[in-house]
Amino acid sequence: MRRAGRLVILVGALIALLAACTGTAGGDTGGALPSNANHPQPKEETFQGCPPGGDGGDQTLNIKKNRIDDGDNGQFTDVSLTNLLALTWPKDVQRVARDNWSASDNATIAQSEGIAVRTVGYLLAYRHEGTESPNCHSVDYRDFHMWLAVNPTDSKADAMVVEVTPRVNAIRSGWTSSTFSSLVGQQVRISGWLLMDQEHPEQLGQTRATLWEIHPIMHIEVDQGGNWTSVDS
Amino acid sequence: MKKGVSLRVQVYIEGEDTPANDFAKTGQNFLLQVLAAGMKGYTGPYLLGVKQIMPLEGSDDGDDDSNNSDTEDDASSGFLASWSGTNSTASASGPAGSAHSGGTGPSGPSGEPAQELP
Repeated sequence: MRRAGRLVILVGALIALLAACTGTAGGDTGGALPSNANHPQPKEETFQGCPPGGDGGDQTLNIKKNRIDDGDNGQFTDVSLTNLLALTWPKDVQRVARDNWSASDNATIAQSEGIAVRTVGYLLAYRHEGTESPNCHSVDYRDFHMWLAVNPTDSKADAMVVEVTPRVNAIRSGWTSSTFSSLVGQQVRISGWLLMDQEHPEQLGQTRATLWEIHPIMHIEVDQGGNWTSVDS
Repeated sequence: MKKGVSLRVQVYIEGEDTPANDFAKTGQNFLLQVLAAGMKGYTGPYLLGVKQIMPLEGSDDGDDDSNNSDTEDDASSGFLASWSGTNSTASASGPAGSAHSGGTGPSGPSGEPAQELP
């Protein structure tokens, strides 16, 4: 009896492991944010003449938004969207330029920021943003905002904002408006860098549930026949 | 009767610039020049002062913020008029500009300083 119980547990664990390895699609999967995750130094580049810090604004934040490295040596940690939405932050950082954050607030944010995460949710909507300082106010190279929610019926107020940057978009063929449009309402798996965007607290409860973002997005996958498939392919 | 009104206006400024040059500041200075030039030529009875200028960036919510929305054309739509450099001959230290050089106001949405009357 005891052996049978162990066997069931072992088989269950094996199935879970296989599902994770083969990228089997599912619901709000993933665990909690690990406390011992790596925080790799961002890889940066000047893009279309625009330096990583952009052309103004909070340049420390811009540098984080403009990173282009593909995960922690290509790996992303599975974290459930529910857990990402539940992440907190010190309210003192809201609307405050990063150079003016206290050491304590910096340390608190740094515990979660810069972790390569992967999460599953429903894409509620997307929007091609206006010109912004991280992109040197370029008219031609702008972010795409996306709203990712646990349930397809959720509103933006329940969602996490996840963003495609021009620098990543440039190396991902097929990431176009029409692709994003076709993903709306679908369950998607998003991989990217966890970032605190402290600049939009006024949008909380209106068009976002949290100031934590996945920004930039490095990979977008869709459920095809029970397997996660990159939208690049 | 002496009257006053505060109006919130959203303008969009576009033009060529070197990538790393802060276009938010460029735009603010340009707007002040345009207003100064306008006030220079105005001979009517009203006074105009700019209370606050701040860049609008990273807004999640827009008028067209529906599902599937792509605001590709947002950036340049809504131009009712355009000014060339020669139209904005007044410097930022002109009537409008001098009214706003009173110091750094609160930070804008992107942490950039807003210009505000003291």
